[in-house]
Amino acid sequence: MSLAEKASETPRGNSLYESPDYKGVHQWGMTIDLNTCIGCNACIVACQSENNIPIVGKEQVMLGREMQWIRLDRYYSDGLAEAGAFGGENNREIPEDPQVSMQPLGCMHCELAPCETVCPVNATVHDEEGLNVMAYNRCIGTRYCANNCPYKVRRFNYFDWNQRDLDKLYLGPLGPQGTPELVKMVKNPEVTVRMRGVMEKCTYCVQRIENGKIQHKVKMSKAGRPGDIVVPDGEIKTACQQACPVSSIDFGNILDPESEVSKAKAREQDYALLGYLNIRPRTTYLGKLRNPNPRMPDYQKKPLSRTEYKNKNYPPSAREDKYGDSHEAKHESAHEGGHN
Amino acid sequence: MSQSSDTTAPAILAEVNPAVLPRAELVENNRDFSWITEKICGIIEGKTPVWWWWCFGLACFIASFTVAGIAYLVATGVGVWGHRNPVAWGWPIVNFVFWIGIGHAGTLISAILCLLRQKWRTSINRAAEAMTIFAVVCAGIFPVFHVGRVWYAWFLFPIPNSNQIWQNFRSPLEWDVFAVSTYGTVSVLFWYVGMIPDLAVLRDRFFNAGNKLRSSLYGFFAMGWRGSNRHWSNYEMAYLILAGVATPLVLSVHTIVSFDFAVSLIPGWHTTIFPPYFVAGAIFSGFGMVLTLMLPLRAIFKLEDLITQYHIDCMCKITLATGTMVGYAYGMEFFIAWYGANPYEGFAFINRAFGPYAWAYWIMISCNVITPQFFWFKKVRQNTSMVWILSIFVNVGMWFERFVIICTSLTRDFLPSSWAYFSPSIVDIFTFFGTFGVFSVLFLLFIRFLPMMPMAEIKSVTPGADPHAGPAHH
Amino acid sequence: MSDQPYGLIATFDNAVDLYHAAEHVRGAGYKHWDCITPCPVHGLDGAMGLKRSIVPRISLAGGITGFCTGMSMIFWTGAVDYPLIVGGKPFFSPMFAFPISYELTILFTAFATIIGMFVVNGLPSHYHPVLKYEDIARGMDDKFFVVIETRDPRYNSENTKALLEKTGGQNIKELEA
Repeated sequence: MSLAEKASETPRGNSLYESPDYKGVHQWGMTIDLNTCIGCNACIVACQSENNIPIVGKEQVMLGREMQWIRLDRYYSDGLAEAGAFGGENNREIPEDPQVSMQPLGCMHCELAPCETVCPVNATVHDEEGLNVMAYNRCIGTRYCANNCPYKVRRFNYFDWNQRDLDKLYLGPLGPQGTPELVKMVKNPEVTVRMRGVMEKCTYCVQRIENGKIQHKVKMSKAGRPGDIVVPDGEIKTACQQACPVSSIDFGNILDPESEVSKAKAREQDYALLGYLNIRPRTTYLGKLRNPNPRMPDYQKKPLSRTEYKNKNYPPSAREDKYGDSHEAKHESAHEGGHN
Repeated sequence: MSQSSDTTAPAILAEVNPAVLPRAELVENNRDFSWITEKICGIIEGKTPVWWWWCFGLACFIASFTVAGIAYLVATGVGVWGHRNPVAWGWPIVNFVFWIGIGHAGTLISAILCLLRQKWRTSINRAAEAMTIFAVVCAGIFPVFHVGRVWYAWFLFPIPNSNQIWQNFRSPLEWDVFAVSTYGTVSVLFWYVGMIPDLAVLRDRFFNAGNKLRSSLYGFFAMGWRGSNRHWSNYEMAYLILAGVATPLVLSVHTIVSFDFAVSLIPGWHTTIFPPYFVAGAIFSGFGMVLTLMLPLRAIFKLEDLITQYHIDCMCKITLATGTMVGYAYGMEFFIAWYGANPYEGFAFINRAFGPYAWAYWIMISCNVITPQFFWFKKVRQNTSMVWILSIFVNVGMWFERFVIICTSLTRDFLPSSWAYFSPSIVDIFTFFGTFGVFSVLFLLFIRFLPMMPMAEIKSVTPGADPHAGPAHH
Repeated sequence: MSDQPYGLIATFDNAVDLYHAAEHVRGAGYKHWDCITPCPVHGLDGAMGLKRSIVPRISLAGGITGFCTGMSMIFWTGAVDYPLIVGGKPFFSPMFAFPISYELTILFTAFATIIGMFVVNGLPSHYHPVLKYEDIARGMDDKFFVVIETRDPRYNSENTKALLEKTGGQNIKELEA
């Protein structure tokens, strides 16, 4: 079954249930290429600007209430795969030169979304184009959806981040209320500003999708082809995709087999995170490939480590060839001449 | 003493001559009807004891913590609690399940023991039902107020609204709305209907004593009950039907509460053992609370003839049985997590026992598995102070069980990047302990103003109500 | 004083005597009479010749109504009025509709039972002649009464009183209407 068919027909797969079909002319999907992702956080900043994500302040971030819709997961390798990468056998301290893997995560827009099933008031449902949509005005904030999301991409407005001073949040109604005019002007007028008590999450920049669809329809009507409503690939870009300097994010219509995203999903290294749960996320990842062949020119003894990073990004004078080197040792090796 | 209808004894009995097994007296010392009436009504008719005022004042003070906590919460935001990513449900939902579980013992005593014809239920069922209702009140505070926008909580009910949108009936929280509402309603109705004959007694006693105001108040609710046997016939049928309906209710309500967790996909939550496990645990914790309440009342009001050692024995045995079931469930969860070889499920359980919340886990195990085993020993069951202390441990353990299930599973689920440690805030703690004050206020009002035991039901299990007894004795 | 009394009331000290008296009164053919007891006495219904209560039928009607209400509400809202794709689940399935329908069954059964019981019993009736009897408090407490109404066709002030005395009734009084 082609990806396009799978997206619109939701194959039953031995389930007792017959899932409703998606009838939209577009089916939105995304891939994130972990081979190119450099972990620069530009996607997070872009998402925050585009979607009016509030600042919560240092204290609240320490309490675990950050509001960013897309996050960058960074994992250190453990000693199971390669003891040397983790400072030797049984070492449980993070070594000075750890081996790192990164994965940006926003809402996966799962076709069989676990968050939708558990919302008692239908505040989060699926639209015909495959988006998991969040209706802020219906949400009463039971937070069951956040519990049920296996990726933990949902964010809850624990306080009135926009209306109250960040250092006076706990004063509640006794604190000053109101957003300064200048701060209001920072907000994107196309995106709702959420009040406290509602849940929010990545929307695949639904405002850009809708804008794109409307503009395309207008353009087609003016050109005399009003029935041609399918937006061509590349016209709609999500904020994270637009900001990514290495274009690792591809977003588009997976019903169109020629779109970038469909081609990316057709690649062999495409996988769904936690795919075994059968929730069918629309955002999939292109797994990072490393070639550990020592005869390759870009061979690194310990890939994804700080040593590799330095050697790739700094001039030969700054490079190291031993892992676990301190900054002082680096100067010595610089005298010995660069490696690589 | 002969109970129920007499049948001609088979001839074999004369040959075999079986030993006469003494049945425990349900009301000791051959108390007659008027003693029972005086004993129970005396509490309501007499002057309010001094200790009641002290307890009531203390209870009001503690209840104010909940009132203040909730007011602060609604005015400021859910952030005043300890919630964080990824633990979106913390103490409030633990407290909700805790209180609802406690309520279930009352309905079990009223309804299930009625269907099983356990006559010993009669001295404790009114107070146990009251405990259920007050526990449901305390429980209901939490799901209503833990939502981010309490002023829109009415969105949960299928009534027409300007958005013309309906509820999601697939969601366990929506099932909860119906289940807990039904449970509260049916419990109140069952309790009230059971009280009607007793309210009639009080109505007439106050009338004879000249207190017309109290007589009319009790009389209003007594519905004009006059003890007519034609009425008793329909009444008993209605009571039996209510018992028959409350039995599946108690089983289904806690099953639906367990679905809040079982229907999700979080490892440690998504398991089919939850419905029977939760129901057994609820009955276990509820009986713990019944013992905690009844033993002091028995001592203060000198009710030893009505709540006898036999009653205490039965309650301890049920506590032991359900505690053992809960212990078995703990073992089974671990076994299946290992046997199923799902790495997430296996980790969830290793994490419970040896992870950052191991302290909570081992408190839970010692209170829930070890303490009820003391009830095997008759010496322990006969020592009411010991029974009382063990019942407190049961409740502590059951709170920790809900905490371990809810919070530890959320703190560490699928993606390690989201793992975090959850701590409650001071508002969490005060709001929870305040609910004990709310419960106590309601319970103290109940014992002061309403008949604490069902006089009519107790009378009906004494020999005086048996129309086929030998020569009647007073 | 009203023209005709409501009936005669006789006091019995224990359930055994009451039971036998009830059998006699039933045997004598009275239809409009009653026993007043402080607690339900098993077997008295048979002694009085009462038919089985009809409350269960009302309860059943309530239960069926509850179940159908639940299922139809969920079906109509989910599959007809405003179908929404939620988690890929079907618009209606008896599986997820069951818990709510089950609870509504129980709720409506309880309502029907209680309201049915009150209606069949004619309650509330705060001003019944029996309640005006000065010793009614003992009837709620530890004494048993038999009340025979004057509107019964077999009622006769001497014969009825004699019957009650014969069966062991004490303190036989007239109840004013």
